Amino acid sequence: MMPGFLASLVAAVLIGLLSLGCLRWSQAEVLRSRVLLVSLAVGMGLGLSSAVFFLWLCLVGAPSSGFPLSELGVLILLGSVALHARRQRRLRPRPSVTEDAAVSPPNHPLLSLALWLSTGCAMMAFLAHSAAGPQGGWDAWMTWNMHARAIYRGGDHWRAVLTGLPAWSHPDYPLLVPASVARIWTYMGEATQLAPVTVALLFTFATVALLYASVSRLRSRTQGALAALVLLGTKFFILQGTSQFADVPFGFFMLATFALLALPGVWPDDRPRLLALAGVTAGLAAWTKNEGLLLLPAVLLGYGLVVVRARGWPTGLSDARAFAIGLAPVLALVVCFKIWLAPPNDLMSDQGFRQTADRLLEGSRYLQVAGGLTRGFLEVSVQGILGLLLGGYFFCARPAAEGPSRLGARIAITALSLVLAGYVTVLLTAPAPLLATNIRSINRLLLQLWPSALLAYFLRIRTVEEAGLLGPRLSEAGSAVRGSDRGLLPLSEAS
Amino acid sequence: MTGHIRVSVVIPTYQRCASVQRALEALGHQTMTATEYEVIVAIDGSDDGTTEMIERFQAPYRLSAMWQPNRGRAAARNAGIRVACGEVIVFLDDDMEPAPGCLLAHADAHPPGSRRAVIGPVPIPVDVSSPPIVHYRSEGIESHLSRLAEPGHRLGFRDMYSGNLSLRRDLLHEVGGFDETFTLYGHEDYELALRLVKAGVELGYSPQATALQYYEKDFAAFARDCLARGHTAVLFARKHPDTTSSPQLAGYHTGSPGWRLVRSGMLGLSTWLPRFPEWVIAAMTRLEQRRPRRLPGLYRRSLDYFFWVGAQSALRAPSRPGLQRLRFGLSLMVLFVVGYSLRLAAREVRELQHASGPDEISRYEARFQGLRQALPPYGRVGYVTDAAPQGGDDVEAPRLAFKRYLLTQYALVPTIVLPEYPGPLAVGNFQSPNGLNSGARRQPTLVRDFGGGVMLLRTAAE
Repeated sequence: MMPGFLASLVAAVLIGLLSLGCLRWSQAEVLRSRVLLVSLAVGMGLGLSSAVFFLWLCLVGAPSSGFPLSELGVLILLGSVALHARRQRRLRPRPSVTEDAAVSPPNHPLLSLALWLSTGCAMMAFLAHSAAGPQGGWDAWMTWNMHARAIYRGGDHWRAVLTGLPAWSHPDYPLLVPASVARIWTYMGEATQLAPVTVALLFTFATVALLYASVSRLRSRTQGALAALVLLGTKFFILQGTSQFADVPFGFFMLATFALLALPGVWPDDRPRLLALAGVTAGLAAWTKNEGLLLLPAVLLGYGLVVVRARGWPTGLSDARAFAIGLAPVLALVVCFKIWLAPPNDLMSDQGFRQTADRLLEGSRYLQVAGGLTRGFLEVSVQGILGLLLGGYFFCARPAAEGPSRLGARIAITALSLVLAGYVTVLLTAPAPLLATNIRSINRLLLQLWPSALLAYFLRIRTVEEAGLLGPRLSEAGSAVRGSDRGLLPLSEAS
Repeated sequence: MTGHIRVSVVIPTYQRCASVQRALEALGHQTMTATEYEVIVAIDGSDDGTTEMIERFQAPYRLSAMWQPNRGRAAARNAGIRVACGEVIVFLDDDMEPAPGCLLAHADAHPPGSRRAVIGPVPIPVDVSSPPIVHYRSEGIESHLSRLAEPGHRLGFRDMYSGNLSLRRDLLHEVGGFDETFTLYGHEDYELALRLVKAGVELGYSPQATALQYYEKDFAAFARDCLARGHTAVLFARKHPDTTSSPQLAGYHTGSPGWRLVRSGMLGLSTWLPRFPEWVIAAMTRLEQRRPRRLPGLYRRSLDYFFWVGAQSALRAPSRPGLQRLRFGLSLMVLFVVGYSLRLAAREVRELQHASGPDEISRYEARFQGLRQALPPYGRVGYVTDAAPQGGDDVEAPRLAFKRYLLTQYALVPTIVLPEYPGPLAVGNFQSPNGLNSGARRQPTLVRDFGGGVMLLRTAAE
């Protein structure tokens, strides 16, 4: 059982890493950003391997012991392409960006200590919570793990079982999480709770690592550590992670999309590759939750509004092409699932123009949604304490000056605002029986946005170094060492 | 005392009257003719009677003194340079006692037309009664001097010091003398040496130009010097970003991880508790009195800490009104997150310890294991239970009943369980032992009882 379990994880991460390796990166700095690459590879690997598993199910049928072999074939193929790309690569040794963003000084030791301590605590809380309730929260077993079981236990009938599940199990929901779990079970040869717990664990901590790495790369390591700390201190995020819902994986892909859209600011030479990857992660977001289908237009519109205004149409169009190249294959998979497998979504049913207009004119709905949003925000931000702290910190640190990450922050803020507006619209126009249920889950909708909101926040404000709080780092004082002077004398001995 | 002055000796001093007197006396016993050199004492704001002592001092050579408000050694030396008239200027620290041949050796090291800066040895005499810090300093200097004396050793600017240094006056004028922005102790000598090197001046070492250094500082004074050196090291690095003053400044991340962690903690404490370095000095002074075996190691580490305290103070931007607020906000955020994470972890671990046996869903599932294996791989069945929603006062009852149904479906996947399914088979999920006869609308017949209220039933088709 354990070898199969480990092999499934290794294969997933390798798929992620090799997919990243298939791109012909121009800047050596990209390949040196290990935390960023590994965190991306974990999420993308799980996402892409779930897509491979779904394709296998569609083409071959029941999950069987033959699947790992076919995945090995995929790995060999990706490995060959990655090897070829490696040979073709012409890396530029130095990043062509401003110094402050490219050469980030090491993290402050006390902040590193706080980060490691919080990570350890969060990990411990996650494992303890998962050990006490390995089946996850209500929605996990009712929806996501149920779907995974339907796929795995359904055998040749998986399609009929999945689509035949009662409506309350939402068989129209995309399959990234269930397929990832069922895939691990296929490797293991039995269905245990180890698989969903592990998938949840990987997505939760990959989100933290990705936030840390992307903010570190775009701003400074201190800023990255602060962002990761705030996310680790979000109790709702950690506990939702243990709940095995799809909101945290969806939050991961949303964050990855915004981070990849912002990274061309510091790695301009790899702009098309980063945008293509953003397309892949946006597609995987749609493969995780239906909300992803709202994220896609929001990202495109947000990106268009910001980038076309800042850089003109030609850049916007070439960026859109790169994004579409990454998005197309994953979106095709989602569309196929929606057309041929998924029943209609309950939110979409009973949505005529007249009904929608009537609902939009109901004043009480606005009050309910506003109340739900307030309660949700309070829950996500630890009874508003984190919100207050972040607000106060923004007031003290003030916004950052123009820099390579400013455009990325603007894209994230615009797209997140659009996504939030979309959520509110969906809530306002939801059929009456669903409204109360949906309002109860606003906290989870806000949680999906939380990592990306933290990304935007920490890209937007000044770093502690810029604010002059820590001053240049102690290590930075000697960072300009050049040449090779001999006869070096310890200062304390020189007189 | 008139004649051609070959050497001008410049001695900057601050509050060390007795040391200056010793140096002046030693300068009276030089092998060089007294008419060939002059001594200029640049008093850097001393008010300990140095001026009066010099006025009274009977010197066989030309002696002059000048007083300026305390502005640092660099400014004091520059003041001395401005009034010096010798071809060669020798800089001596006020705690030096030049050997009889010292000035002559310096003078001979600068033949006409040469472009040299020459240092002489500055050994620290020690005996058994010397305090441990003096032994420590003496060992450091000895090791440095023996490195300088190695055959073939080419001097770099970092080898230089200004406690016993000579160079031609015109060279000093050419490079502009010492940089007076170095008001604290240290690095003004490296800074000058670097500019001299860049101007094509050769650096040299003359073993004959010895001056004994009477080291009279205690640990506290030495620690403050190190702190000042850390500060001036940063000033130096900022002035010359293409090089660095010391490997120490470039080596924040070198050394043992344990010490680096301790030092980080100490530096952090120094930020919040400005008196912390003084406490370290007090602790070290107490420790010094016991003379533990590991004292040199403790010296090395504590002085390293003081160096970084100085560097940190130089790196920190000048305090602005908003900075305190920002520091407060940042600390609050980090402390809250760490505290909250600890609390969360503790709570979850405590709850896990209190949990008894498997969780509710796993227990529920275990009841259905037998039935699931008996069912075909795919199919639909009805659902019969004795806990149908009854209304009444218990508002939780319908919810719990629905949850039981959901869990039944969850346990029996891939079989689809539908309450309204009209097919011949149904799953019975009863809480009471005679539940089969109590709550069902239809009257099913038992096919198989799996125990725990779980049954496979046959329903009469309606």
